[in-house]
Amino acid sequence: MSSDKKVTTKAASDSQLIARAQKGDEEAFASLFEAHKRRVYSLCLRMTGNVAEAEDLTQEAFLQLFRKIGTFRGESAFSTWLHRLVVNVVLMHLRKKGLQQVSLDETDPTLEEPVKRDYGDDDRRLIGSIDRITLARAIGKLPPGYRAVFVLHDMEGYEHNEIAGILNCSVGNSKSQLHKARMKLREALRAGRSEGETEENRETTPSVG
Amino acid sequence: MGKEDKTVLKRTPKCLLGMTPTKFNALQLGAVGLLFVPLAITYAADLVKQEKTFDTTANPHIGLSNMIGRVIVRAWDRQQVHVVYGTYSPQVNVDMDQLPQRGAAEKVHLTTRISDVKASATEKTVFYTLDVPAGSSLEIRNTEGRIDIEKISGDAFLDSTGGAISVTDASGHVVANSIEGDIHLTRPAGKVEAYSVCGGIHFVGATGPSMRAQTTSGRIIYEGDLVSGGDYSFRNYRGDIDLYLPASASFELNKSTVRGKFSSDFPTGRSQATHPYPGAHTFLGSNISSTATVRLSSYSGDVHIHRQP
Amino acid sequence: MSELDMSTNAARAACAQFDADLPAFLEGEDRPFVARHAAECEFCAVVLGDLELIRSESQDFPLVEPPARLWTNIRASLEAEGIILEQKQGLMGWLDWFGHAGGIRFALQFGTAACLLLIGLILLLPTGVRKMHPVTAGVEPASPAPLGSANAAVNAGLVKSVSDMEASYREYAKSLDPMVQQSFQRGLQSLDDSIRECQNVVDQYPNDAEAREYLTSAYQQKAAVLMTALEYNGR
Repeated sequence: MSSDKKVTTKAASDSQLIARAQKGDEEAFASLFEAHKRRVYSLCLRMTGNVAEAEDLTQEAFLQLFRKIGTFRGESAFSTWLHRLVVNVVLMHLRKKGLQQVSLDETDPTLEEPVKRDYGDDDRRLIGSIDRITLARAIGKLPPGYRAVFVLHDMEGYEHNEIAGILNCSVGNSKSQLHKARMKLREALRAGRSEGETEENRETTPSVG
Repeated sequence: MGKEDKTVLKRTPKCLLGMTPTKFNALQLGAVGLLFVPLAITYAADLVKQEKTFDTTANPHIGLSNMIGRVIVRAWDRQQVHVVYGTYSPQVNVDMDQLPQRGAAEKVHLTTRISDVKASATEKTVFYTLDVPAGSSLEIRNTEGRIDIEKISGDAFLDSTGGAISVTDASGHVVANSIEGDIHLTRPAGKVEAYSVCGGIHFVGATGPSMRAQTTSGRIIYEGDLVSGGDYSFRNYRGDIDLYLPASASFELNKSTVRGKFSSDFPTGRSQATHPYPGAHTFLGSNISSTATVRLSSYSGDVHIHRQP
Repeated sequence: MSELDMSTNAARAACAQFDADLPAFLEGEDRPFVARHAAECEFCAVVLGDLELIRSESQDFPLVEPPARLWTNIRASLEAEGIILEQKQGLMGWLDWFGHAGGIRFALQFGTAACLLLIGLILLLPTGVRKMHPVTAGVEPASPAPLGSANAAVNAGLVKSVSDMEASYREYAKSLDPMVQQSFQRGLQSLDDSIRECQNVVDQYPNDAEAREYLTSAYQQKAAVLMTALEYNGR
């Protein structure tokens, strides 16, 4: 955070930087990049789960931002505007890759795979046995559609009606995908914990179905 | 033609447009009948009304996103949001969501969802009427439908592409955007920013501290007095700007028009041209004791300041 | 069916009910059965605890630092597109050119000499040689165009953005509802008319700052309308 503090004390608030950037001031561009680069990169990394893609998308997002900065009229907070732009850039990229899972169109609930639960299973909670690195890895391995909803809601704080607008689905769909994402994460974290254990050998009960 | 024929023609009333009475009666009936056609079409599809009431906090945030159909939002004195909406097609649904899910809602969101993109305009139409707490903040997006807001004291962000926006007796910060629609602001008591491309912007009886309007080809009209210390900024490209002010209006004027004409019923200061283009002029003037600041800027439209009797 | 079977079936039904209510409960909806069942069923309590942990741990993830090369790449692209001004303005530009204290001293000496020479020329040259700025009587000359954009009425990056967005919009517009498409089209037409009008004046009077400002503003408005159109995903 020290480099961010440097930017804040040296330059000015975002609005002054934006005004200067709109006139082509390189220092203003650099300051805006410094102030927002970690948030943008983190968002790209979380939504793609891939370092190389996250780098490319961060670069693309900032280029689009700086090209369009002349159009920012200050009607909303700059960070909100930037955040929305980054989410759009990532989603466009995921859709171009032809990843159908990103589309959260309404599906027939009878055809969907039910959320699996192992009744009478290992009764140890995850608490105390997972860390952020493990969680981040597990999030990165989620299918793109689940990951998008999970990142937007639980990590970035978007509400379901906003996610529905971004991903062009219904609020109900967004809620159900979020729950499935969390259950998938739980499965992955528990499986990861089991693989890591060499001292104990626990049997899992067959899943209900 | 014989004399008798001329006499008959002379008696024929001009309003018959040269037709015989029988033909004209038929035309009248047909015209009246045509008036009912839109109504018939509207009622041919069944309008299905639904309503829901949310318990809310004193100043909830209301978000609404619609495509076609009028949206009316009115203030009332209950801590509830009462929604009544009407749809014509089962292909159109309304998502309603509240946060938090339990207890008094701090946020209420309404979204029109259209499953069939090929549905007709009538089928896509949803009418909304909302009664909300006066202190509510609003975010209303209605693409092709009109937005009417009344007596809201919270902030309002209103966005339309083709629909008009009308705000009456609002006292919060109002931001109104439209591409084609006109924007009407009646007795706004808070800060106002109005932007339109083709539509006009009309202020009546404003008492708020700051009024800003910008349009490309529409007309900007301001009727009423100016607030002491108020800030008024109206900018246009090709449309005219007209101010109708009482004789007692007190303001400092900064006006520029590159190619249009300027006139004022109020005395203005010495003109100081700053533009090489013939006819361009900038005025820095003042009238009586300067209190409100008025900035008028038009590229090729005319600017007029009228003194109201 | 034995008593054990019935008991097992009842337990599974309760767990199934818990599963059905769990998503809504986590969203904050009123689902009293979830808390009640979690108090009785250890396995479901574990599920609830795990999901709440995942949710809370995800909220405070630390931000990640991107590699340093990103800014280098971004800067190079911005410069190539002309979005970053090539010249620095005023004193900063001069100071950068010289680079260090020794350079500043040299600049001051050189600058002083140049000023003295100029003053000398002005005083000594005949008045007829001096050029008058061609202004009409009583009209102040318009303010000069800002440095770095002498040949461009509008920022090149903004013009390019608008052009790119317009190309995207032309493709996208085919999928829009006809009524919506017409609204956007009329708005864009009005803005194009304004741009054309301002551009004509700027072409005649390149140093006219006011016309350039209107022209830039028109492009910005057009970009805003195009962005609204491209982000419109209503059905």
